[in-house]
Amino acid sequence: MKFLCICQSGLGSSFMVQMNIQNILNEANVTEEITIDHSDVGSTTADLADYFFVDATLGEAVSSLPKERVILLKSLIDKNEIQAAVYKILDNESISHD
Amino acid sequence: MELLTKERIQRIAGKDIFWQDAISLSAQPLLDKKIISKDYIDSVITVCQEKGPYMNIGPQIVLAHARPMPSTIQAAIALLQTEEEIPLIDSSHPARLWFFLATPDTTSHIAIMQQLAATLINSSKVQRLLSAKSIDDLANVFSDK
Repeated sequence: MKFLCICQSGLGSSFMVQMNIQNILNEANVTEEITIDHSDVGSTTADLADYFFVDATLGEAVSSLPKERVILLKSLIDKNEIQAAVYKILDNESISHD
Repeated sequence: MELLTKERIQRIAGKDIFWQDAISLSAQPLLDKKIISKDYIDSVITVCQEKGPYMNIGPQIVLAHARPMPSTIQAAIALLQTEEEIPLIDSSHPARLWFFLATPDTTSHIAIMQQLAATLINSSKVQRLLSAKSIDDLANVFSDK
């Protein structure tokens, strides 16, 4: 399973989301191997990951990605919002978590 | 290593200034130390103008940054707090905490980002940053006093 966090430059906001997701997975004791990386909008294609996390204002820029695999975040630092999105994916994929 | 020390933190009223001014001012401590040059600040403002307010990463918080430039000599961060809200691009993105990030490549800023992410995901720390009334108040959030 691979998550890719995306922002315009691919190194600031996207990196922050990556770290926040990593912490959430650690706290939830997820044992399934999930790779998380970050990238910029321009070089992101649908084959690069299973799920894509992106700031909601960049939604149009990632319209080429399959919608069911794109998670639009209103805030990149709201733990509850990111946690809810991550748990929803884990549940859909039948990956156990706390 | 503290993420931000007093020398890299500024605080202004923020009346009658635009987001471009806030970003330029937030970067000033890094410009003064010649860690970045003005072309990088211009690049950040251009990206923000063209790509919209996605740098508004959470309520009242902006993380201004752009692709690495050769003129940036090391990864660094600075912070400007404005007493007044300043809209980033449009009124749906008001901000008071303006973080400015620079990195010479795609990896040097990892330690900075880890600390920044850990700070901003902590809502009580964000609240302290927003309610801070002095540079000391702001710096203390990062030194955990």
